[in-house]
Amino acid sequence: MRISTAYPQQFNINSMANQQAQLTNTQAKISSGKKYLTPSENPSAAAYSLGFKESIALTTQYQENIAAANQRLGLEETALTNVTDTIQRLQELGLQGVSDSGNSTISRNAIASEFEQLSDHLLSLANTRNANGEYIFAGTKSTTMPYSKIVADPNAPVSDTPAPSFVYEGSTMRRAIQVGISRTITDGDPGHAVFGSTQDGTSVFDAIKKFTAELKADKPTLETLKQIDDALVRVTTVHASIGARQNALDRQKATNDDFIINTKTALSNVADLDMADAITKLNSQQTSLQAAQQSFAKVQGMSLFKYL
Amino acid sequence: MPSGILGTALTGLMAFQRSMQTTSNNVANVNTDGYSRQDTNLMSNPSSITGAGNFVGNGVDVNSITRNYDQFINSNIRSSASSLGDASAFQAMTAQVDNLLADPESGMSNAIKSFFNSVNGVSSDPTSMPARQVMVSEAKTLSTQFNIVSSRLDTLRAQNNAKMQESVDKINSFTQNIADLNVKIASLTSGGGTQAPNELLDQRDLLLAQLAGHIDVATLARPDGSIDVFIGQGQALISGDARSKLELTNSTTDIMQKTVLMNGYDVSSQFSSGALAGAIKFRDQVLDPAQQQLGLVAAGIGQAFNNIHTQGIDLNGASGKAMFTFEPEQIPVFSSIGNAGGYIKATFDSATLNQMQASDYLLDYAAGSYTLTRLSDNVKVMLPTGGLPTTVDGINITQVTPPAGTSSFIIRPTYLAARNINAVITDPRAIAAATTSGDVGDNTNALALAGLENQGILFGGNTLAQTYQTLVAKVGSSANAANVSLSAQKALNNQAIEARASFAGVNLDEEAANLIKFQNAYQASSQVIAISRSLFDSLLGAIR
Repeated sequence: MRISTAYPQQFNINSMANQQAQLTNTQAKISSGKKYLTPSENPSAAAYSLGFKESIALTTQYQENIAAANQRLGLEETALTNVTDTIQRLQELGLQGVSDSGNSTISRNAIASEFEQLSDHLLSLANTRNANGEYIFAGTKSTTMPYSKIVADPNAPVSDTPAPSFVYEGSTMRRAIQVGISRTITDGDPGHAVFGSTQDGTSVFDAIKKFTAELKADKPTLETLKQIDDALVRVTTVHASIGARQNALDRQKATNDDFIINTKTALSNVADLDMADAITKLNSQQTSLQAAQQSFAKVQGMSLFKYL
Repeated sequence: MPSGILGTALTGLMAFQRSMQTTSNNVANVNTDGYSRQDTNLMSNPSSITGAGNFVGNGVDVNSITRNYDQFINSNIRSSASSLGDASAFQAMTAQVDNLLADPESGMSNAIKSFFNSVNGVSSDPTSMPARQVMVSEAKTLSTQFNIVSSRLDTLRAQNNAKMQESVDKINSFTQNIADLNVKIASLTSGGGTQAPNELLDQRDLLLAQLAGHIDVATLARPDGSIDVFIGQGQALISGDARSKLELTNSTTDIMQKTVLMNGYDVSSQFSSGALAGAIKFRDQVLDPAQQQLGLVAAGIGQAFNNIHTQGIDLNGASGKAMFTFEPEQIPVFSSIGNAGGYIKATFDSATLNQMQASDYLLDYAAGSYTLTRLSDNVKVMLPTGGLPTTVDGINITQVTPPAGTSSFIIRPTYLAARNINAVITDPRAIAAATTSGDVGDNTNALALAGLENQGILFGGNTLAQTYQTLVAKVGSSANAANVSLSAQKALNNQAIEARASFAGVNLDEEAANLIKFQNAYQASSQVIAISRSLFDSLLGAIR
């Protein structure tokens, strides 16, 4: 076959330039750790890795939501433990007050005054605020103080069933937090679900108020004390549901963690460079480039004109 | 016959001198682009008849100096140059779009993600002013990022237009030079015969190959040596000494499109290969669809978000306002040049957002009725009886003023959406996180807003992110195909060049060997002259 003198030179230069380009490409991949430098190298991998990154970011956001919900439920739980202790103390004192044996008017008055103290303590618990300054038992009206005590006119006559002197100004709506693709969890409970309704007079405060009045009148009834028991049942029910929600959050968190790890593995398989493979490739590309350079230098020197 | 010997030897000297001259010309042009190796063709002179009836030879003569030329190889070079020009123009531009869209920093991916993160932030903490402030800023970042990516695409469009202009200018300069060479070649070969102006022919072949790199051409040789060049279905680009000039102008229907004119006629669709075709292909197959699809994401995000946001209540107790606007208008409608008036208005139809497609629409008006064509697939969209107003493919089209006569309008729901989107809410209190309750801690609406991220609200049931990923994958595939086709075309072009090089290229070893051969022959002829002189001397000596 006949060959021209100029073409092989150009051909060799082209092929060395190609090898250099490949070497640079491999080197860029090694230094960036990416399997593909541009999406065009593998369009479907590029689309997959965008999708994976998107899923990872979204699930990481859910983990943050879970942390926030957990923190809020934890705060509520502490408050409710306190509420439970307080109501139990009320029950204890109430039973003492109701029992006939050795209860003087004086000791019933002492119990009544402790009842008033505990009622105020419960009120402050019902108005607990979180680190953001939001009232945790106000439902979605989280900047409004949910419970307020309206001090009755001291001159007014004490009636048998006192007019409601406590008002709930929070909302009855719960806030749902997204913790998984199709999963939301409420991050708190509105006050009326925990402490009872002030509107129809069935709240724990109304019960205490009523029982205190009975104590002061020296005729405490088991019937009224039963209302305090009911309040405790309501609180423990909510308390249990918080536990259930915290468990659900933990499970969701674990699921999300698994998902993130799996997706990261998938992303890594699609997008991360196999270093050993790349370095082997780099070595072989280097060798072939050197070979091309050496043979080029040798062949270039050959010409019949040298011998004329 | 001593004079016969001397004369014959002289013809040899002349012929071998000419041969060596050709060889030295070959050597001198070893690196000349487009040069074809030349051969000196020798032919023996007609012999004379002696008195005894013998034929005696009369030496040699240079019959012709020809170049090694193969029509097939040269047409191969031209066609492969066209394909290569096409592939490299397409690849260079497509790679830029590919990098732009896929890069997490320059693409939309991160901005969309951060925006929805901030919406999630508000939904999990609706009373927090910082969270609301972050969402307001992220919305602005998102709309700005849409604007930036869109303007980068516009920059690429300008770059592509500049490349088209460059191709057109080069084509015009090549055709001028080829027409000029045609004139020279015709005048030199007009006498007929076998002699040809080799160097001029080489130059013209080289110019033709360069021309073919920009536009695919067919050639037809004329008897006078000049060559006619055609594009497409036989439109003459060069006819002998005359050539047609190409011109790049704005399209009459779409001011953003460029059209190639020849003698005033649109020839944009008349060529399928070459750099000019590559640039048009890039525009039609990559750039425009990318801009449409990006706009679909922008329009989708803006509309879907506004729909939900306006249903909510903000911290001031007011109904939510639109978070995103499209300025100066939701859907631009362009009147074609030469329209008989008329004013058409188009808006997004939020209820049928999932039917919106990444396409322009052509609305034609004639004899009192409208026809609508979706330009992405050239499908005629049925309009209800009575025509406008109507809602098709997620857009409302209304007629404000009817045209006085035949007119056409281009409706671009998505093409400019990424350029025109703007986040307008600046007050963090104006984020409508609550539903009708209006409570400060109510996050129901924010939750719905955050939920948009995972909903298949766009065409084909795709989410916003999926629609964007489809765009990245589409451009990636085009870029991948462009890379593959570029390396294939490079290889083919190299093969054609190699074929030409091995046929017509100069090999120095061969020339050196030829030089030795001709030198030997020249020296031999010189010896013959010396011998004929000594013959004459000995004859003189004999009679002295």
